[in-house]
Parts: sequence; C-alpha cells; structure tokens
Amino acid sequence: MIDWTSLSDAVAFLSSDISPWVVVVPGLLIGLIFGAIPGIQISMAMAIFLPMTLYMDFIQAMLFLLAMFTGGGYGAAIPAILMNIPGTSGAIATTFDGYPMCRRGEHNEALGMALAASCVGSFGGYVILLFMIGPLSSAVLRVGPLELTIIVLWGITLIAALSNGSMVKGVVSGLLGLLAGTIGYSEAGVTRGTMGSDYLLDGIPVIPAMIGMFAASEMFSLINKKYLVEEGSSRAISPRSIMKGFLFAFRRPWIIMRGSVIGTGIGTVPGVGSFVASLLSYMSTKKSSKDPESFGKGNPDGVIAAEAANATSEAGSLATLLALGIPGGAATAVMLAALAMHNITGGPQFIREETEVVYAIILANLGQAILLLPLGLLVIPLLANVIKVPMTYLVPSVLAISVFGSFGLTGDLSGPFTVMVFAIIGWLLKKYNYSIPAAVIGILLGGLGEELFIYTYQISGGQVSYILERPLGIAMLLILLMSLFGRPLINMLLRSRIG
Amino acid sequence: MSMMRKYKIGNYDLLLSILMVALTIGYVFDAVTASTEVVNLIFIVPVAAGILVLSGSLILKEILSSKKERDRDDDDADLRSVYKAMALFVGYVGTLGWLGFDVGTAVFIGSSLWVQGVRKPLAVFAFSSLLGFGLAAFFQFMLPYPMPMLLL
Repeated sequence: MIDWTSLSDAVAFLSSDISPWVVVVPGLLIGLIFGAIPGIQISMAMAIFLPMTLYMDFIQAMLFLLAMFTGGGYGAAIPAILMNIPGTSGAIATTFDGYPMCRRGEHNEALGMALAASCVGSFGGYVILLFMIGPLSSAVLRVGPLELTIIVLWGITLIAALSNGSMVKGVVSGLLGLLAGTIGYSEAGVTRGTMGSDYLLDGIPVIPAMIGMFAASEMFSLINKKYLVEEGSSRAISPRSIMKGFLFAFRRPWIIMRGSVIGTGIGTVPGVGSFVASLLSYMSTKKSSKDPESFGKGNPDGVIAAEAANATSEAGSLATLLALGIPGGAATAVMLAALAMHNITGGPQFIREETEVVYAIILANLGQAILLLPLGLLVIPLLANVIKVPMTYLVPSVLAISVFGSFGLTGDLSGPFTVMVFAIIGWLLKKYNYSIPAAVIGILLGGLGEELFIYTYQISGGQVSYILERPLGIAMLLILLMSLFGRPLINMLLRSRIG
Repeated sequence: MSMMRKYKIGNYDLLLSILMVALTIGYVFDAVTASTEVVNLIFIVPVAAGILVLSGSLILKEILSSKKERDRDDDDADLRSVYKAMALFVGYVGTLGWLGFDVGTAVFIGSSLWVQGVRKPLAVFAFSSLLGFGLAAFFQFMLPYPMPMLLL
C-alpha cells in the first residue's frame, strides 16, 4: 500500500529543505484567527490569500493553504464553544455540548478538549491517508447517487435526534429547513419559492443563513445578559484548565479513533464534507454512550467526537482532491485553484508520477497537526478573552462582523439580507423551542438531498430492485439501519432473553 | 370565556405553527403551479406532508390545552430590548446601500451602544468608529470586489 521509495524521498526532501515549513506556522495562525471570527469562513480566508501562493512553489503553496484549512478547522470550534456560533458548518456539532460547557464555566476545558481532538484526529486522519490514499480514491469512484443519498439521509435522520426539547418541534424545524433548502431552480427547470427575486434563483445562500440563525439570533437572545458567562470567577482564562481539558481527551481514544475513521471516510465524498462527518461522529458517540441523555447538555465526549471528525475530514477531502482532482467543498475548491495555478492536475496520473510529492504533502500535514498544539495553546487564551467582553459591546460587534462576512461570501447585499432574515427566524424558532441546529441541517442538506434523490430515482427508473445492484449502497444502508435501530434491537433481544 | 378572548391576546406559539403551515402550503402550491412533473415534487411533497401533519398536531395540542392566558415567561422589558436590537439591525442592513459599510457600521454600533445604555460619548464614538471603519477598511482591502462605501 505504501511506496517506500517515494516515502523516503519525501522524508529526505522535507528534512533537507526548510522552505515548506516556513509557511506552515503563518498558515496555521491565519486559519486559527479567521476560523475564530464568527461570520468569516475559512474558505474565504483561503481565497483571499490564494494570490500569494503564486510566488511559492507547489508544495509550499499546498502546505500554506492546508495549514489555513487545519487552523481554521480548530479555530471554528472557538466561537462554537464560547458563543454557540460555529465558525464553519463543520463546527455545528461542537456547539451542541461545547456551548453548554462554556455557560457553566468550563470553557477552558472544552477548548482544551477540542484542541486535543483536532490535533490527534487530524494526525490520525493523515496516517490513514498515508496508507489508504489509493484504496480510498478507488472507493470514492464507486460512490454513486444512491450511496450519496444514503449518506445525506443519515445526516437528515439526525434532525430528530437533535431535539432536546420537543421532538415534534425539532422534526418540524428540520423539515422546514429541508423545504427551504429546495428554494430556487428545481430539477424540472422551474423556480420554486423565489417570490420573483433573482437573488433566490440559486436558492437561499446557505452559509449566510447559517450565520444568521446561529450567530445573529444568538446575539439577540443574549442581549439582556451582561456577559456570556455570568459568574465572574468562571470567566477566568486558565491555561491549567485548558491543559486539563486537553489531557482529558486522551482518556477517550476510541471516540477520537472513531471520529477519525468517520471523518476520513466521509471527507472523501465530494459535496458532503466535514459537516456530515462531525454530525455522524457525534451521533454514533451518543448512541454508544452509557449516558446518552447528557449529550446536548455539556458532555465532553460530544465535543471530542465532533472535533475529531471535523479535523479529520480535511484528510479525506485531500485524498479526493489529489487522487481524483475533485474538490469536496469550498476550501478544497480553492486548493484546486492553487493546483491549476501551478499547472498541476490532480488524478491517478499525478499520484502515480508524483508519489513523493503526495507523500511530502501528507507528511507535512502530520507535522502541521503536531504544530497546531503549541499554536492552539498560544492562541486560545487570547481569543477566549471574548467571554470577558461585555455583551453591550459584543452583540453589535458580532452582528457587524456577520454582515461583513456574509457580504464577503455572496459578493452582494443578498448575504447581509439573508443574515438579517434568518437572524429573526432563528430568534423566533429558539423562543418557541424549535431546534435551530435541526433547521440549519435541513437547509444545508435540503438542496443536495433532493438532487441526489432525484438522480437515484432517474437512474433506477423508479425500481427499488436497483439497490440490489449496488453492494456498496446495501452495505451503507445496513450501517445506517444498524446505527438507528441496532441498540434498541439488541436491548429488546437481551430483555426478552432475561424475561 | 369566549373564543375571541382566549386567542385575542395571542398564543404566539400557536400563531407560529399556523404560519408554518401556511408557508408550507404556499410553497407547495407555488411548486405545483410551476410544474407537476415528478422530479419537481417527489422530494418536497413528502417533506411538506410531514410538516403539515406534525404542525397540525402541535396546533391541535395548543387549542386543546387548558392555558387561558398568554404565556408571560419573558419579561416585557427584556423583549423590548430584543425588539430594539432587531430594529437597529434591520435598519443597518436596510441602509447599507445608502450609508455604505463604513458609515453604516459605525452608526449601527454607536446606536446599539447608546440604546443599551452606554452613555460615555467618547466610548461610543471611539469604539463605533474604530470598529466600523476598521472592519470596512480591512474587508475592502481583502475582498476582490467593490463594497458600498460612503467615505472610504
């Protein structure tokens, strides 16, 4: 599975030439800072700094962008934990338990745990990639619309599980989100729900909607509070507590490993990405926990599971990018642009002919995962000071940054308008106990889910027997059913045996 | 107690559920009017059906519940603060096209601080100007497309 000759060439190159490493630290810092600013997506930061990579050689350019991606992956967890505002969609699952931990004064521990999960998860993901880049990329080619539909369906089933209050309201939120995600042009070539607006022809801008529902609506909900963490003594930033949280994560090796495998696997699938990976990791950890009821109320395992998968999905998406030349999402699309700028086309030929380059990139990313640790520990105390800022100043600042960030994403005022509308919708949903995460998941998956469902329907000709021709699809469906019904079934069997 | 009195004050939870049902029906109607092809409806019809059934159950539950008074779990003063913040935010986004990101943001931040009770003019002016113009300058420099600005 490993070409040892190329691997040793890669090691020799990286240890003899310091230039690739020079860009890693700035890349990680840029990623950490941009990822930690609510309202700004890491893909935007990568796009902003992309022109600088013209003056770098190919490996340097890739490492710079990947460092930003890695730093941004953890950076996004910081506002997710401190303010319930995910910096990227991949950090949504981190908010479920990270934010409750923060509200009860355990923000230091939560940040430390998330850092450990990111570092170790990322490292694990790249180790998997080192051994499995060939088989992974072959497997991705076997994934068709049916398999993608099952993955998205898996993500959608999480909607019901996310309703900590009223399950019915949670499912309604999710279904409304799904419906909202289908606004715009349909596969039939007609428009739905656009109300005559050209801005909605491509559907609701998803990330601004997410920013509105999470960031802006949360700010409205907190406006009457003096601080994010009410108790004054709990607002302290404690490096000791951060380390305590960091070391705690190592007591959960199986959760990190499971997150790494899920993240790498799901990360390879184009268009699905870290968001679904972190959700699936979170849900599988919740289902296998002895105390599933505590999830969503500040269970550290939830933070670790979500962040491990979020960090690892980057490795998976890199596999697809290098081996197939297919970007998995916005961030890898920027990296694809970097490849093009250096006259490189990803694909089997690239893997075959430039194996040492591919290994050099993977090995350098292993180094990045290690470097994230000291940089993260350096940056956390600085960024975590946001909890000391009075809400009076924090609320308008975050709202303003959200508006700028959304404009940056869309390039016109549709972004800020989307944030505004969804901020109000989000506040209303929250006030009447509807689930915002479920609604956001619905919006994120609605359009994709419909598209894949229709492709599957068209390819199969409406025949259910089509699934029998797709062994990978059958396997994935079985895994999905097991994850949903496995435990209750086993419990029922055990009870009937004992009874 | 008459039905009018029971619902006049406003069970907002019930109203929200009714709004959701109305929006769902409106969306499906729009979709069906646009096209009755299977590919246009195969996904949204089951989703809409789910919303209608579940929201219907919520509406029924609210109507049959014994609550006679409007819920007063939120302090009215707290709600007023939220409404003020929302109004300012809507005004901010709505006027971006005229005031620009630079002046618009500074005005928004300054008015938010003032409305929330910050009465030190220097703090209000300095913070809002620094952050407003600072953000505008940073994004204008970084983004490859023009941003509406008034002064910068």
